[in-house]
Amino acid sequence: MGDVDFDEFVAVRSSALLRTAYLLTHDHGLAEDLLQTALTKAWFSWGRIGTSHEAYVRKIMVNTYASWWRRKWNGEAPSSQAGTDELPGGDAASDVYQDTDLWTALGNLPRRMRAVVVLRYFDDLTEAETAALLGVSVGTVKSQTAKAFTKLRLDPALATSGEVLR
Amino acid sequence: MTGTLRNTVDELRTSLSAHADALTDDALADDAPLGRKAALQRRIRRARNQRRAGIAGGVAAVVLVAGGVVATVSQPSRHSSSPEIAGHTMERTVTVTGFDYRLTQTGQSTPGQQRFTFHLPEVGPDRVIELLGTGLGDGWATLEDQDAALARVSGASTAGAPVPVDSTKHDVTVVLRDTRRDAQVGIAVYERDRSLPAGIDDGTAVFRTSVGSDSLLGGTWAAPGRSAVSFTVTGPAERWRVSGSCALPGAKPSRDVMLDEVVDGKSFAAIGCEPLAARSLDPGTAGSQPSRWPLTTGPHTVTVRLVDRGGHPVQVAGAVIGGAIYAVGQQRTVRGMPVDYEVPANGRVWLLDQAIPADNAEITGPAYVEAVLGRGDWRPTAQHLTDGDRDMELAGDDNRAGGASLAGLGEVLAGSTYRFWLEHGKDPAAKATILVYRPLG
Repeated sequence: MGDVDFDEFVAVRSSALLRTAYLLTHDHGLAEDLLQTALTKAWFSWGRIGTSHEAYVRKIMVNTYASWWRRKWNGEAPSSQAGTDELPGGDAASDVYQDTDLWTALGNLPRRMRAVVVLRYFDDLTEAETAALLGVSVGTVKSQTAKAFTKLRLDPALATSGEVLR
Repeated sequence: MTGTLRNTVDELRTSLSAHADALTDDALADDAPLGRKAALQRRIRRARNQRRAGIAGGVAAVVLVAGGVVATVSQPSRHSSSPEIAGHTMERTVTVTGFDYRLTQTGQSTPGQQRFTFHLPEVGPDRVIELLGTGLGDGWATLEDQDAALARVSGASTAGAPVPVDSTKHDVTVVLRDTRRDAQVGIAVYERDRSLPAGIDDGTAVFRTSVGSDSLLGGTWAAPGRSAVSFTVTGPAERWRVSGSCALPGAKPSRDVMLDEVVDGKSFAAIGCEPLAARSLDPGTAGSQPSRWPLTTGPHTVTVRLVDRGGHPVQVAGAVIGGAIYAVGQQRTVRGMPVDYEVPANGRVWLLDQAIPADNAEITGPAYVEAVLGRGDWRPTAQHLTDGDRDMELAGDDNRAGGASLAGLGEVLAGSTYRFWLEHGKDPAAKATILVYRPLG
């Protein structure tokens, strides 16, 4: 099973990957399904993965997400999370909702474009790393980023809130 | 301009972090991984059973692969003549989208093998693979990488164009179908060398003279360590775009410094800065959206400069920056949207051949397919009509930005025919247009 134990990896790193999945899907249930789908795929080749297991799982996750089309939620949730598919309330959530317009606009981006934005500006991957992960050229990452900014700038959710993006 | 810069990346990072943190605060309880582990065990068990069922169904094919399924990959000798692979004499270098690649590995199957796997090591530079075949008869061989078909050769065309393959350590597979019993296939693996194509370079990266049908009007690189540099271009150009390059010391992209691209004293665009070790060597492939006004005869002064998030000029030791302006090449207007006549994709250059209604388009490869979408929520479908292919998994495109939007659908390999159609989520009468590009040469 390689140098990194699969179960240990799930215990230590899956929460971080879930955050990326959530930013991609904007839905906790779908994020959990996406993460588990990626981890299941990775399990079968765990012993052959080279240097970075996390990068490998993230790659599967992002590409699986990009190929989903309005997949009906039918996955399994961790038992402790069953039935929860809303963002939590409370003070932290109120801070989040202050930028709900940008969050809404991000949700309107096409999937690969949203993936580029999340990888570049949340996971802090370089353009080259993002390109390798998505299996596209660096030029495509740059153009997708530029198009994402254009779409965000023109999104009605932001147009009405007065936020300026370019 | 100050406010614009601040609001771009800042707002994005803040929003993404805030939402991710909110999930962490509550939804990611300490025992969540335990519940996830149990769910994963069930999924893995189920997937393993499904795979076993699949293998049982494929026994007849596996039996044909006598003598092992892994073909050898060898290093070509530097001193020998050009190596032969599957009946083809290989070039030691190939050029893909302007850059030279050097032959580093070759491998070929045993005649008669129907399916086999090549192990690829992790490499630093970009990598392309050429697929070759002999004795294919009326059949064909397809190079597959992680369930995606990348290239195909057939009796009529036994040498494929080099295709990019990612640089990580992984396996690629070649699948033969309906070929003669003595059919043999091989692959040639090329890695990018250090030479640079024609253009304006700094010894490592280059603004190429032409990128697709876009032509370089002018550009420059700053002396090492300089944080601003200017150059002059002359028009006229009906449509033009700016390409910048910014690399800074460090392991991660800078959150605090950007490259401001200024034309005739006005900020035209701003881009982020990459770590030096990961800088793009071909920065001209990316750039701003085309201008909405023509470039007059000029001259025009273009400056690229490092700025902080507030738009104030900054100095950064070890920075490497440059900039260029390209005249945007031939375009065609489809549904009110200018689309490129010539596009680079999958290691090849493609020329626009047809613009057809997207309600039921039957397309035979080789072709690269894109779509121009009107406003709204679109569901694309690509159904295979040829044996041995699979339906493409296409992502939907929710175009809410107003105006038309361009969506890439994918490549149809030679020998394949797919039926494409796009459905609008709400308006059955809404129209989209499919763009069919054919390979150059």
